Amino acid sequence: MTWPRLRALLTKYLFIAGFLLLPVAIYGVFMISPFAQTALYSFTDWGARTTEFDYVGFDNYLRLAEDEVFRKAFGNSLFFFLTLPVVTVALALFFAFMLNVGGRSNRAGVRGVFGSSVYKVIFFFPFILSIAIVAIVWGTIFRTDRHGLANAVLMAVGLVDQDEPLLFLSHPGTVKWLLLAIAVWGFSGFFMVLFSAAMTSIPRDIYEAAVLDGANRSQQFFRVTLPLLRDNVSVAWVYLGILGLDMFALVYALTGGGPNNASQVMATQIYQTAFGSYRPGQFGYACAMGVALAVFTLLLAIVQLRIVRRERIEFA
Amino acid sequence: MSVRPVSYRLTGPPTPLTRRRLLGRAAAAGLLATPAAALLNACATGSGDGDDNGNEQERTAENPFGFVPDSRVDAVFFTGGFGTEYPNALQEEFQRHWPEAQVGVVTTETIATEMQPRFAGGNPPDFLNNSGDDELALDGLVNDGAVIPLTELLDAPSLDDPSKKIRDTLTAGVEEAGSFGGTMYSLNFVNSTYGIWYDAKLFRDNGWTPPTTWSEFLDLAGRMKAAGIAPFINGNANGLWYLQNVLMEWINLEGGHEAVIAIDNLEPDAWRQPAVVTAVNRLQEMVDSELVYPGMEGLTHIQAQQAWLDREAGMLWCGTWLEAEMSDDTVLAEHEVSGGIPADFEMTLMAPWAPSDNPALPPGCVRNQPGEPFVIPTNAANRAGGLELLRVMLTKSFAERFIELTGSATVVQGTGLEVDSVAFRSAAEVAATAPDALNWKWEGWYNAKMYVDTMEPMLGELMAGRASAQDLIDAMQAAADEVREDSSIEKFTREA
Amino acid sequence: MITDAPAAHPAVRAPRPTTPAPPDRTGRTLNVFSHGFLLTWAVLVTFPLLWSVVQAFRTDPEIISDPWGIPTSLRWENFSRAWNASHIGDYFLSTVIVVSGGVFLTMLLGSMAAYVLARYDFPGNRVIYYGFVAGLTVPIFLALIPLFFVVRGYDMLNTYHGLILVYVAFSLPFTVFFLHSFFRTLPKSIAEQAAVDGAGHVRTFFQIMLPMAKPGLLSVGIFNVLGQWNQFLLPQTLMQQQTSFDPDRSVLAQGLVALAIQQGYRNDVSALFAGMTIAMLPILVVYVAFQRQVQAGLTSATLK
Repeated sequence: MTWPRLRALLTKYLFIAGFLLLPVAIYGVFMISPFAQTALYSFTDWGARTTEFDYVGFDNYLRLAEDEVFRKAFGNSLFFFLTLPVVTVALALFFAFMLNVGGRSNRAGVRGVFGSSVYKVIFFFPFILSIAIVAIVWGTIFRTDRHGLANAVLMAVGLVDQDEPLLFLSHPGTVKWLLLAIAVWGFSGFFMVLFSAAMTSIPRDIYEAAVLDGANRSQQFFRVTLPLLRDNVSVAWVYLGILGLDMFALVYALTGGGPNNASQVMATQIYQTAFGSYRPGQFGYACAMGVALAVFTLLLAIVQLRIVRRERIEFA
Repeated sequence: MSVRPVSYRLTGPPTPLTRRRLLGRAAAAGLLATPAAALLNACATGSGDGDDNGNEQERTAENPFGFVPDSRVDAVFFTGGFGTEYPNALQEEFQRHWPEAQVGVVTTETIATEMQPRFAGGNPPDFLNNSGDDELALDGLVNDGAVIPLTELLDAPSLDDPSKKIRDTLTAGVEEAGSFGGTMYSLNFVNSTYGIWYDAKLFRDNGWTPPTTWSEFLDLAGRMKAAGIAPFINGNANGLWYLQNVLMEWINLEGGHEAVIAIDNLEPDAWRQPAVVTAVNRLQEMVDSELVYPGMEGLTHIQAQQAWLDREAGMLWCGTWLEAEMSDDTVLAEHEVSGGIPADFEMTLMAPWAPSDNPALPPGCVRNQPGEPFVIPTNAANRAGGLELLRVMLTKSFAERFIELTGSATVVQGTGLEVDSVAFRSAAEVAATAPDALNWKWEGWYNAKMYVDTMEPMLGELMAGRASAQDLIDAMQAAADEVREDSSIEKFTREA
Repeated sequence: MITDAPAAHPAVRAPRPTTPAPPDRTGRTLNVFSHGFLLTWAVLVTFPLLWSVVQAFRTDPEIISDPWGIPTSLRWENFSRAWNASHIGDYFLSTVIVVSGGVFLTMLLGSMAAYVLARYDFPGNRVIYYGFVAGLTVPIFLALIPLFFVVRGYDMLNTYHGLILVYVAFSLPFTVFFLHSFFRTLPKSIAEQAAVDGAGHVRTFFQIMLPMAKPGLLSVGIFNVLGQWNQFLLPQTLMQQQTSFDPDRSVLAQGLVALAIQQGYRNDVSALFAGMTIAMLPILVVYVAFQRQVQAGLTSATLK
């Protein structure tokens, strides 16, 4: 190897090392190492009140297999993992289509419906709000007696009896669906903007050609827009799947997993096991749950990415 | 529908909407009192009293803990039911005794969330008011030796009268309420009486009288419903602990002390006793006959209490902190509208009515116990400061100030005699005239399995009409059997 | 909207080169339906928020007894009460300090790492890349207690720089993941040209690649601002006063949640709504002011 080449190689690696040093160090110290410690604690009976603990082997993991609440939480997490992407993506696609190409087509070409720029701004609102705010607002609206806004409105129009107010988030049958609705309420605006961005990048003449061929709007959507948006939809799907598996903030703030664990998800279950102060020695167990959740999430993410990648190849 | 209770941890996270146990630390913390837990005791005293604490000087009669007069005391308060003003008042009081000292005050509603890391990190405060829904489990702290025994506090001379030990200036039951295995670890500062609250004016205007038996209650409930008022309310979203108290009071009234002792001692089929069956069925009857406020399943205790203050419901179960909780001083000062208590509302306590017409105990019995625990962490940087702050808190002059600010009675003898509050006086009268005291222990002894995992979810299901009285009884009996058979759970017993 | 698909077939043959095209009936139905739906959604989004702002001007009894009434008078004192009781001003300042520091560092370090990982081949590249990406999938609170000890070990609890570094660590996965794909799409020829011109690696990055990546940086930056601004769990654990004498450096989200938690113990709903409005309005204003950039950033991000 000649000296100039060696020197070039050396500068290259020096550059790589220099650029990676700080990010990797910070990431390693404040992210990887705590997570690694979490994995370690999953084999202990640590209660996180003192610095003492014993190693208990796989006891925590064996307990996990028999924990009924954890199973319930697992089922609920799966529910959100499956439903949140479907509903949000469908809604966001519909909005994006209406706001970008859903308008009347005429000589000026294809455009969004009337007022679409205003809608685009408004629909994004919920996404920028703190979960604390979202929880306060919806918690007050879904109050379970006649003073709750939703109940008051339904009673005023005669849909609900004064003495039988709806329980909303306190009813095991409705709580999951309402949480899903609130999550969709929060996220769809963001994905609408994301899909809008992708749609505006589709050349106008494709639509115009479709219009000339007499395609109506649903045909435009399913034959032109959707195939061209495949990549974006896939990414959004993966991202929403992860959000659906998490759901921590919303459940934590709105229901705490209740009533009677009807809305318990894995994330809230872990948090309550670790920090709920009712029994000692639970932190190690919570860590085991966390490791299980992390492995599960990782597996699903890999599966999703695989599917997405395969589709992309076929598409190309 | 499966009614087998699944294991259940919290009604909710340490958020507002979920303050389950509330000021119920009186019960939850104090119940480990009588039985000897020698193991806990030994381990805690062993590490407890050491002199590894740099912040200490020579102990004298005037300065029994060796408090360094110009040191800093790090104090953390729970500011739920009693507001944010009394911690500042305590700070002022302390500085009157120790002008060079500095007392730092932190107030919060989320004790465990904020304190757990500090305990784990060996950096706890010097003085901790461990209370609220998000409190640190006291049995866990004692078990870990994380808080010190307060024996030296009880033996220290009172600031009011140095010839007396502090122990002798407190009302009866304080030591028992804060003890584990015979040693006191928490000072429970507030004397709480529990029972059913009503608006005396509303009752007077309608010609109603507080019921003592089930028939009287049914009669009253009928008249209340006719007047458009729901007979009974409690916030179930985080208030199932309150309903549990109603139930246990009923069992105690109906079956006498033997019935409750059998439950506490985990005797076979204790939950199948006639008194239990009657009491649980009465709860179900209240739901079935629609004698409770519509929609109370989803209300927080504050929302429920406000609805009661707005006279949408007639009766409510609570402890004596109720008045302080529902009147916020900052709101009063700046808002011209009270925290929610109407001006003509006469908040009055009654003893619970019996679940039948021929109960074992006479009418008028109530539960009356010291609550609101204060602890001194073992690893506190200035333990002497924490103890000295407790000593100042137990002076008459501070106790009177506390009562003035919060309207709640303290465990300091001879205080609160002049309080001008209907609620306060009615509670004092009910407590004074009670022929017998209601009491149960299992809830504190076997809290996780029997209360958190079983009683709470089953009560929720019962009140929502998704489980029957029999389901609840079966579940409780199963939980009690499970605890009895589980050798890893330390057992306690009581004779009386 | 699927219902009208079959009816559309006859129209396929109709010669339609002339404009304007006469709207067919199904189109009109669809129009009415979709307009209705968009309007409904707009109401669903704005009404709860508007309603909360309106509540901030009412008294507690008004809110309780008539949840959908309008204020009898504008009670600004709710705002002063919320402001005084909860130190929202201080929390605001803390938040601005932490988020500006956090986002700046995240973007700088994140783009450096993403650039190197995307454009240079070296042993360990994929390990580091997947190490970052794996961070996307694990919940933050899992690491909370160990993290507390790590931060405490560096004596950085309740400090701005401590929280900033943690924010950077937790924002890196998303940032690296996103920018990685972005840097990959930038044309290779430009970097080669720069090398031919004698520009070093560092100069190429800062003077050529970074400016080209501006749209991507902008959109990732916006996400990081939103994410760090609304972060709650991390400051709740790491930004706690370590003794009563420690300064209170709580961030806004902590303050808001504390205000909400107080509702469990005190009955002051109007102050809660007022505090919420105070916290909500600035970020709404910032968004409305910059919404074009947000949308443009997202557009360029999707235009790979």
